[in-house]
Amino acid sequence: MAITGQSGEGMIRLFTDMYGNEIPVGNTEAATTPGHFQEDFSVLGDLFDGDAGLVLLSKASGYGRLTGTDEAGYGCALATEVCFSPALNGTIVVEARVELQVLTARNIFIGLTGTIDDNIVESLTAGTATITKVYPSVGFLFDSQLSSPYDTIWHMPYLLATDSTQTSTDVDASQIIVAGESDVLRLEVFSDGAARWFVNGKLEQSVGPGLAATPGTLLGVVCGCFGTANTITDLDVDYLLVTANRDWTR
Amino acid sequence: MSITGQSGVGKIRLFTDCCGNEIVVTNAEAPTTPGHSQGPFSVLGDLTQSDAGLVLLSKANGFARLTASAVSNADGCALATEVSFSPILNGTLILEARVALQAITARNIFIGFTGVIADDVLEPLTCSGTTVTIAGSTYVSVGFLFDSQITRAATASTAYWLMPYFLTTTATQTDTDIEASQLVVAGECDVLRVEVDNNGAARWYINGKLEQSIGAGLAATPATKLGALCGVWSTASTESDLDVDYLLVTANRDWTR
Repeated sequence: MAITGQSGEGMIRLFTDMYGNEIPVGNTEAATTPGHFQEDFSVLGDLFDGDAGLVLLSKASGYGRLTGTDEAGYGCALATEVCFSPALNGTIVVEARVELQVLTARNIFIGLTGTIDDNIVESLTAGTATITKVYPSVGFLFDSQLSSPYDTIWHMPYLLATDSTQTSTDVDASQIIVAGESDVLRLEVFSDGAARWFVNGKLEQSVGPGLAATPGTLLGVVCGCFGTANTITDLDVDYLLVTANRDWTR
Repeated sequence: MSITGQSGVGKIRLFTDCCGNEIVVTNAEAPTTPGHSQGPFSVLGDLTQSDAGLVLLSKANGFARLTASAVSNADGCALATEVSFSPILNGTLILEARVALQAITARNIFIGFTGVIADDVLEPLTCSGTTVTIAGSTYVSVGFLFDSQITRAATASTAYWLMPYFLTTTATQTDTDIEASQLVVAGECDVLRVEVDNNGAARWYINGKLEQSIGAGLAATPATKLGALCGVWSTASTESDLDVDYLLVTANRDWTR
């Protein structure tokens, strides 16, 4: 009935500390097996492949290792449905603490994107000095296909439907990625499509209204790793947090 | 870059009120089936066997019954985490559970922290007569234990909770040295809480009463990682079970890496 009904559940908060469920790499389940989850998030990707899965690690604080397949563009990710509208749910916050055990042969995306399939593919790809849109996205990207030294730096791309590429030097952070060390990545997308990126608490980039996201376009959260070659990839996740406001308008 | 990045998510808090997923006893799943969970905890054990599982009970508050299969001192069923809590990096570690035993026969119950947690989880400590014995030097453990194989546990008036603490150099403890003042009574709930400090000291509480306190380095090795475990194992060829109202684990996040 009412289009303005409200309650105390005004804030959406999704969180996993990476304890709980495992999807063994080497499992033999069928492609038709019902979906998997890690607390509040779907675990998506080629999980029925014998080289993909999510296993928990014996590291202080508890980490989950997302392991993708050895196929370029395909991988394994924690994700939500495409259901966050900046205009209706903003400010949308995505924060993750992650660690890469190596910096080779992988594409990592943590942020918001416009398309998330069950057999999830990379939202952005990269080569030499160019980041190329697969789907409209805003977030953090690491891609080993970028030329040195940009293959060791977090990038902060924002590609709308009308954009096709960005240059790596226009969206690179000041902080490099070190194998085996954790980074806290935080993205804030406002209801007007502006955004801010923080790495380890430091503001690294800020863009104005309508430039980072289209306010009326739905986005989903992705924290995943994808292959760039015929090599298995992985990403260690300490935690993933998403907060947003509830849309009470409908 | 930085290894000291911090955010507001500084506290690790894992909790289940045991009102979620069920793993049906008499299921026929294959051993390769992906893992199971109850809230943020893994459900481990011989879940592929048709006499083990986790079912929710129609009891006020909601309880989950962990059921271990009828294999003596081997197959169990447990709520657990990965072995990923370092006292020195994550302390103070706290584990609290509210549990009830429908019977106090033919079962081994461990609720606490331990050094080895396999998918087919084994009991970290076992008992005989008056002796508590560690499963192996890597099964360092600190927590609560009830084992019907303890001679005094066979008599209702002396069936006390035990509060063992095993370092790698500890092979056995005597039951009366680590005995609580409170009995395990079938069908009645107890709130068990163990706190492990970052210096390896520990405290045990039962129903809010401090029952035991151990000094620095005596209950746990600060740099040795532990996992949280709340489980039941059979001590004979009889199925055993444990009813869990809730399980809580808290720790601080390690920001040093």
